[in-house]
Amino acid sequence: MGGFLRVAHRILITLILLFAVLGSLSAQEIKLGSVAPEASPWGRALNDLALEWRNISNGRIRVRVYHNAIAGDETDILRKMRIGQLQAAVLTSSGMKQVVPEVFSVSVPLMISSEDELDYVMERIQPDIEQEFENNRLHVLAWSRAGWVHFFSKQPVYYPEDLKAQRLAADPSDEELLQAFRIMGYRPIPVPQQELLTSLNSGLVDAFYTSPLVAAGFQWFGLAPNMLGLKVAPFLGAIVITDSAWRRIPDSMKDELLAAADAVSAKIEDEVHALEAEALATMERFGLTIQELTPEMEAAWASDVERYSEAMLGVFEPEMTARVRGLLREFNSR
Amino acid sequence: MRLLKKAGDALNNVESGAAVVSVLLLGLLPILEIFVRMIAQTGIPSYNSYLLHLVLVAAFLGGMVTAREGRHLAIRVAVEAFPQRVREVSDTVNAFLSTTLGFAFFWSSVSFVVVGFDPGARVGLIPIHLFVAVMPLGFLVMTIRFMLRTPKTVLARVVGFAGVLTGTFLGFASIADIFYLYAESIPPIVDALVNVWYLVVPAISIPLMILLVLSAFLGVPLFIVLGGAALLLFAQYGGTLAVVPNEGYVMLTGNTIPAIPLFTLAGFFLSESKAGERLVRLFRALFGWMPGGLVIASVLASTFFTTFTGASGVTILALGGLLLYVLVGSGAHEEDFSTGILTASGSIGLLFPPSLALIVYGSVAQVSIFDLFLGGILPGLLLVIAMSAIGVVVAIRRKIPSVPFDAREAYEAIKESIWEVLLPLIIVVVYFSGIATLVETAAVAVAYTIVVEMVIRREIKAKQVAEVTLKALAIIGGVLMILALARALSYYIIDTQIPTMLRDWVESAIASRFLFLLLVNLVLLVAGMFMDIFSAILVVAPLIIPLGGVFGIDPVHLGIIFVANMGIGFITPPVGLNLFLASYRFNIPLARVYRNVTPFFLIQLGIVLVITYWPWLSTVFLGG
Repeated sequence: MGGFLRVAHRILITLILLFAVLGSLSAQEIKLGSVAPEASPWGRALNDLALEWRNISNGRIRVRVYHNAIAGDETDILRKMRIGQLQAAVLTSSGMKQVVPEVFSVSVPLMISSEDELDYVMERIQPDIEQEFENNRLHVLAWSRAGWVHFFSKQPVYYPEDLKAQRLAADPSDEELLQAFRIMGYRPIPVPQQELLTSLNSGLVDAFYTSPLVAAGFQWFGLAPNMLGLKVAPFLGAIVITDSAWRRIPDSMKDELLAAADAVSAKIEDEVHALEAEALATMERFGLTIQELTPEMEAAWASDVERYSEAMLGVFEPEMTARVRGLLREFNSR
Repeated sequence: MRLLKKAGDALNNVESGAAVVSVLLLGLLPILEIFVRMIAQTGIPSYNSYLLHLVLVAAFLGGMVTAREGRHLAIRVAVEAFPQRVREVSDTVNAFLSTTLGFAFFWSSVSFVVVGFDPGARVGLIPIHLFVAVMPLGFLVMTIRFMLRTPKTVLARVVGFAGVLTGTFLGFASIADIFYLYAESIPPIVDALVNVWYLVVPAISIPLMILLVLSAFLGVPLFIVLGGAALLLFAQYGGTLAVVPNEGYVMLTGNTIPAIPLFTLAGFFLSESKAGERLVRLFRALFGWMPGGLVIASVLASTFFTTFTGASGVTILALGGLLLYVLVGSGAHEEDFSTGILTASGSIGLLFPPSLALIVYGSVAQVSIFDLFLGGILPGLLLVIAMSAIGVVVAIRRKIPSVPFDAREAYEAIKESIWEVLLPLIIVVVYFSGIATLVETAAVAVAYTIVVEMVIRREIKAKQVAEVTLKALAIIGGVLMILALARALSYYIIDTQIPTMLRDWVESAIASRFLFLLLVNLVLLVAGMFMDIFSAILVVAPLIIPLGGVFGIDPVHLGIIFVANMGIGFITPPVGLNLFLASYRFNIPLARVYRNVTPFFLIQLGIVLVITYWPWLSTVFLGG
């Protein structure tokens, strides 16, 4: 018996050693969740990123990309990062705000309305937001823009009153936007994405907000063929990785990996712009009318937004929202 | 001892009460939302979050009730025929595995609740942890009940206790996650155990899984087998165990899931009243003159209901009881035939507009949804006609007498059952006129049925409401547990990226279009068995679509092939979801469901092959 135990003990130690050695040799696997389809600028760029990181690390880092929300929606992806099932993700504004509510201050409806404004604001608040992500055990690898959200409606919309007369579908998970629209006198109805098409058809809702790429992809515009040129809010994206996965990567590689991520994001931005233009052209061919803003209309929307600007502080993170607003004033007075 | 029993009874009552209240609240909340929306132009704040988390609570409390009643679905093949000794052994193995995996679920869900949610996360105004804590609670109570059901020998008790220890060890990796996240310093014992875990568990998980799958036939509850297989597969490569409860949570808090318990409940209130008798008279009066008329009417009713509720098998739960009563109660058809055809008809409505399955496919595949609706018409009709034709043939062969049509009797029958006849009309009006979403419509159906059967008919007394609800809950709990843990297994398939590998292999190995389509049939059939239809569309469709392009298959045609295949996946033995639902709703053993459904399954399989190899059916209505 004693002999047997000794042997067993030896085997056990050998196994532990073997395990330790294999552990250090084996590649680091990074599972990345994304809600974008594989056949989209995001999807293609993420595949490129996986390849580049592998090359940079000589095969030590393997990024597995789960496209098309098959690893869950953004809320689920974030939870899977908490429990350790995923190590990285592409997040849009609505995912990011669940970790860092300040992010959503940029998406207050109708507040930021041009690329230049967005550039000016982001440049100044980005470091603080990234710090907030660090505090939540996440590391931002790269930022990128994913276009603008617009209103689509059954009846043409020119002025705020036109939209307020229609029922506006809102994603149930966007509690802040639901509340914001409510305060501003709109009639938001929570409708899950899957049901939007039938809801537009049955008349439960008459209008929705989304980016042109999404409206084209899901063919929702067919039932609400009027788009207002007004930019409602920017659509942001970021690639994030968990703190623990990032710490496991040797420091010597990090600069190169970050540069690759940056390059990929820049490429996404370019492609998104091109594709958005293409989507708009396609939708117009299939009956979409785009209502461009006249100066009078623009003024009407601006004054309507102004009226509720105080109330928005109760919905969105107040400190950051006030700061963004200050930056916008600063920008516009230059 | 008596005191203990009293305390036990009291606890049982609390449990039943909480479960009943959670389901009834689930029915009440959407109706409140409709009213608030009408008055205030916009709904209740955070309504959707409350609703979805209420489903989670109802599902797990229901699962506990199901375990109490001993009604968790299981396959027990020939166990009863075993000699006493053998049966004791098999029951002991059964108890050991159920306890082990139940405890592993318990610990991994404790970890999921603690690690997965931000400490400050809320559902509306209520901390989210109050809702999700029902998951570990539910797993714990269910497991203890499985443990107590073992043979009352000393050995069985010891083995049951051993199950607790093994399950706790199996779940240890996820317990450790709590320490790693929150503890200031890790106790050395935790580190040591984690090391042992990584050494032992990956090595034993595959043999254990094989044992588990085999023991599925000895009566281990199916949800334990499905979730347990997933847990062991994740454990095998040292993965995160909390992903199992996570997927259950995702499934149960899905946006259309509330429709399942609600329509089931409405179905129960109807079948527990005398509505069945009235409907028998009505169906006979309206369709009895036609040979097979009752079958045709049942098939059409099922088809319509599936088309409109989506795909999740609600049809069998909601209508199954009533339609079975109509077919069998009229003395016209045998029970085996009737359950077979009702089970088989539970998924054939997927191809008609406004089927959610086609909508989701269209948006994933970037195919015009309208074209898919057009493409589905003939293939869908073919399935409906085939099922109806069987009814006619059987009626003629068995010489089932038809009753001549009598306008007076028809009028009387309609008059008598007018309140029930109005129900489908109300559903259609409420949903298609834009008054309510699908889930809200389901809640309206529940409220309407309760009011009709309780207030107008007075066939269900006020105090019976809880009783009927509890009866429905035993099924709702069982079904939702299976759905929740089956989803964990689907996620394993996603995690390993098996579909992507399969695509790469096909791309390099298959050259013939015929072979490709056959492979598509096969893969989709298997996917339809193991994955819910929406996951399958999201995961498998994007892989097949580019290949379809390579082989020159019309995208609309491919979509119809896809959805038609998923439809029969639901009734493919041994694990098609609708088979489980049928076993529950018709209260017959699974083995008998398999036998009854097989002829219909084969016919539908034949039709799917026709749909696959005859593109004309799906493309004839497409312009250009």
